[in-house]
Amino acid sequence: MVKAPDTLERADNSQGVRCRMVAASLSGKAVGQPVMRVDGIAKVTGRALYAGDVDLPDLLSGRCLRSPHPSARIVSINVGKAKALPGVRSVLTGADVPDTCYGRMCKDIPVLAKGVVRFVGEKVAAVAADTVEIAEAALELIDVEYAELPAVFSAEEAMRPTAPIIHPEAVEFVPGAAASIHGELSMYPPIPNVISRLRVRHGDAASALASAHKIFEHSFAVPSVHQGYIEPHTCLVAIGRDGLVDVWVANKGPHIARTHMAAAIGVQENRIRFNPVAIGGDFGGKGSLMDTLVCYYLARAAGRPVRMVMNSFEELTAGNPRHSASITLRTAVDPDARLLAIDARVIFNAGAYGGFVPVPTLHGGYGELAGAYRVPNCAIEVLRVYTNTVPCGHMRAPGAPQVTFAVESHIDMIAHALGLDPVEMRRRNAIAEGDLTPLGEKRRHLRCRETIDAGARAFGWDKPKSPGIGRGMSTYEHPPGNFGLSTVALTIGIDGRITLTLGSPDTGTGFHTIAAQLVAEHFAVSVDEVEIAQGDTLSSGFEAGASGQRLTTTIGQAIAAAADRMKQDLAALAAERLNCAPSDIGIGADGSFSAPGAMIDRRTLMGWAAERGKAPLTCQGENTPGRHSDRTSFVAHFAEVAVDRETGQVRLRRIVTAHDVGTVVNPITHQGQIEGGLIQAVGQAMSEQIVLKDGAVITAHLGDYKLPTAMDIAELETILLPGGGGTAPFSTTAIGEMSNVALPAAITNAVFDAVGVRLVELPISAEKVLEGLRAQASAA
Amino acid sequence: MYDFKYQKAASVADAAKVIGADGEAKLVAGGMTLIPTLKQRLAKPSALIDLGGIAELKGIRREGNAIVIGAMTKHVDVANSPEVKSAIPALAELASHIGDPAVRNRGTIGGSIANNDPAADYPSAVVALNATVITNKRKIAADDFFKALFETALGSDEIVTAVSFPIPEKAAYMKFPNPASRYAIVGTFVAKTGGNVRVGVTGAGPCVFRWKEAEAALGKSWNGDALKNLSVKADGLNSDIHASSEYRAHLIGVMARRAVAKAG
Ligand SMILES: Cc1cc2nc3c(=O)[nH]c(=O)nc-3n(C[C@H](O)[C@H](O)[C@H](O)COP(=O)(O)OP(=O)(O)OC[C@H]3O[C@@H](n4cnc5c(N)ncnc54)[C@H](O)[C@@H]3O)c2cc1C
Repeated sequence: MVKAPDTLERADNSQGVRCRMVAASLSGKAVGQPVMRVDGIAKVTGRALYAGDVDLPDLLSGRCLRSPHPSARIVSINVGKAKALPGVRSVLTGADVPDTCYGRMCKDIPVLAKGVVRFVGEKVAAVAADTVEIAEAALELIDVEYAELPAVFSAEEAMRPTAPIIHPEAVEFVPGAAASIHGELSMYPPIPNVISRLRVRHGDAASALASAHKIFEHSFAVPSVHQGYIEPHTCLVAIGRDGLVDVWVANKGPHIARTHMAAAIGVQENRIRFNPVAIGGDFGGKGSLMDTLVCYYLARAAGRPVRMVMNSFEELTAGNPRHSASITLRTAVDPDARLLAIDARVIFNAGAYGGFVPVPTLHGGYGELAGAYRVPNCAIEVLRVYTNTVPCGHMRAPGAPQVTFAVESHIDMIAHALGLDPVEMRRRNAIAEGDLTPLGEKRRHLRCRETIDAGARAFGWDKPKSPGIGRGMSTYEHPPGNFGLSTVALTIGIDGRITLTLGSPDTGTGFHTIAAQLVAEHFAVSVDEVEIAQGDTLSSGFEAGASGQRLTTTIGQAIAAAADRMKQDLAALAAERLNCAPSDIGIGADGSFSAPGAMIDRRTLMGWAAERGKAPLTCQGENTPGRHSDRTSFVAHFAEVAVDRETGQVRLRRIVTAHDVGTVVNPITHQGQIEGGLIQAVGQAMSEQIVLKDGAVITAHLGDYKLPTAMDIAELETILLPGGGGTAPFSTTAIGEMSNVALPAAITNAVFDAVGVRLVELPISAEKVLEGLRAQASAA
Repeated sequence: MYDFKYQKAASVADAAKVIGADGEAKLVAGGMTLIPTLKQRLAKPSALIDLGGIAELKGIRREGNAIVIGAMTKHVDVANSPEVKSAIPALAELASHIGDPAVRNRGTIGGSIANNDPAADYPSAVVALNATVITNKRKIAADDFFKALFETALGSDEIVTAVSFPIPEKAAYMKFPNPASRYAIVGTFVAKTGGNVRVGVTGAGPCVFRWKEAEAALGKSWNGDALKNLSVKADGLNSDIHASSEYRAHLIGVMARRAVAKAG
């Protein structure tokens, strides 16, 4: 089904060069095969070790007392009664921990509140006790006196001159991470409560708007949602007698987290060891240290290891959910409905702390804005703003779902206003070979129109439909990530088996299986011959972790580099064994080595090498980090809904999703990413929303925070357009952040098609649709 | 969760004795409501008295012109019962849409009505079918049983043993579910029994109630159109993150009309 071309292109954006390398065609043994998950059996039999499964002698349980106020001064804290409770081993408040603040870029998160609290749910005190129950009983004995302060909850209000300033002191940030690559970035500009303001320009949007045939302006709002992983944030810290700090934490990037922890607690990086654990879902939400620092201080104070597990109430009210956003788009079109310019203003509500994300602002707020279209002039302003609400973090394609909901609704609204079919509107403006992206970047292999057409055909866009039924579409583009360092080690044992040691956990995506397939492919062996060893941070090379659709590309390149070296080392060994020059050695399709008149298989060769002290053999490999690949990919979603006019209830009947793909490494995990992402998007379109009241999250359990279940999922058809041209080493494209981004707009566009009600705020609710219908009736 | 004692009651009398003597003890049936309350440390009972081992509380039987359902009968058993399906199909269907399979396999009718959650389904059927709640002490008419938000006529040592539902000529239930829990945002049960029409509304207010205007209109003409000109006032109805009181008021009418149409 999926075929790789003979010639692969390796994009290297950082140096502006592109090298060509010739790869062997796929063996058919590994890449492209529906290989079972390498961690599958361990997970379904309960043997997989999650952070919460780790047990240690003398282990204590840690719990935190959280603020009931969105903004207050802490007048006093009395922990006397809590300390006296039998079974309590340590009690800490802000006064007991250093002043250092933590953050992945902006260092603004205190370990425990110091003097003030800035959101409902902020950690004010912590207890370690023999059991969770004792720790919770102790929290109830802590008396805190607060003096409430003015609070602000909306980003727009927080930017007003009279707004209370949430972080009056200067916030330190990592300068490197602030370096702007896309436009003009100001960190902490002179606007109240603004963390960052990024202005990106390409062409001259202002002039184009001034002289345009027609201009459309619409505003949209997208609420915060939770990542919805099954495993809550969990960590365990043990300090050894030798001072080595052992950490088990549900974190998607242990190496970077270790670096941040070292800086925060003032311990050398090589005296901290993050141990490998399985992760029960991440969706971008597990990049921070969350409770790890307070857990460390509790362990230190108690002299015993401490485990902390957030309960579901804490996850929903004080995790690090997606940023809510308000977006205004102004677009100029010519008489043929061609897009001339887009001016976008995107405001992200960051909540009380900015440190949960490793960037100044969310990449998806601008990076792929209208990326599926040819827009010669573009001006984007992105603001990220503090408010007294739960601090927000990253979630699957950070910023993109919010902005894409706006863009894909806006394009639909323009099409309807111009009397144009929404598919035709998009086809006409689809970016194509030779066009620059709205940000002025050059990309290749632009198959936007082909993707739309393939989806429209499968969906039956032009087929007649009954009253009350609506159809809508949306599209999106996003390249694989090629940023950040990945380091791996390949080892061939004395039995010829291959082990890949890497520093990245499998966050649940199936990445370890993909890695095993990539390794197997290089050596033309079956995946059964490859072991995956997730190293701890002392024993594995640096790995920047799962994010931005990068792992298959970056670890793929690191594996390729290690495999190249390994093949050379093996050829040298074989030459020694077969008494010839390494250049005479050929590698057979079965992985054996041959010289004129002689042949040896890998296993025999390694046995021979072992006797001479030359096996096992280990080779390192690294990627060459760039930014993004210049081969992007496209997705087009089509949705069909039925709307009940009496209640406003929307039923999602059918989804067709079309994806422009390169080599599909594993059709099962690939389809899993597509379906999982779509289901997540269905939740965000139809029911999920973190609801705040006076700054506090009130959707605090899963009866109120409405995740979709199997009962809510519509019929789904997936169309793949294999086309190669992907990134090295096997011409892959990315899939992880492709399906979850644009679907909500396809659904709201379908609602409009069905009953003429336009929803500019997510999620859809029956009540909102009914209000729209009533407004329509009273206008008529 | 706070510590508590656990005791499996051998009989209704046994259970009544314990809760009569200890005001802090609580009965546990399916535990679907009670256990989460304990986990959240919202209740601190001294003991849980499990009704699960009492055979006399289980089962469904036909008694004359009524279906009698034991208090410990699970939702799934009501949904699948041939007696209920043939005599009061609307009741079997109501039970089949409670929560999700896990909830239906644990939750009981006794627990549901004793709890009197404003969004629970069963109370609407109890009221619309003019059922009788049978306890270890007495028989309570539906209209006297549900008092207020999470409040019933049950005394502190009173145990629901069964509910007796008269078999109607026509009945149907329509609910607009909360997409997460499937509890009723609004549920309307319409029934015509012995020529009498009753309409029970759940989810909309703090406690299940009868929509009397609709009953009168349907009494004159058993037809959804008879309700077209009626409306329910939003005052006093629930307003929360799931729906405003105005929307709930609107849904009562829509669900009632649809229920009448469904009942035939
Ligand atoms: C996720 C979820 C979804 C749900 N969705 C729905 C829904 O869609 N519709 C719906 O109607 N319900 C729903 N429920 C409620 C559920 O169906 C149960 O009916 C309800 O939880 C109570 O029944 P139980 O048997 O579990 O009672 P328990 O939780 O054991 O007890 C509840 C209360 O009743 C008391 N009690 C129990 N039995 C008796 C008795 N015989 N006599 C006197 N007092 C008694 C207990 O002391 C306790 O106070 C849902 C519950 C959950 C958890």
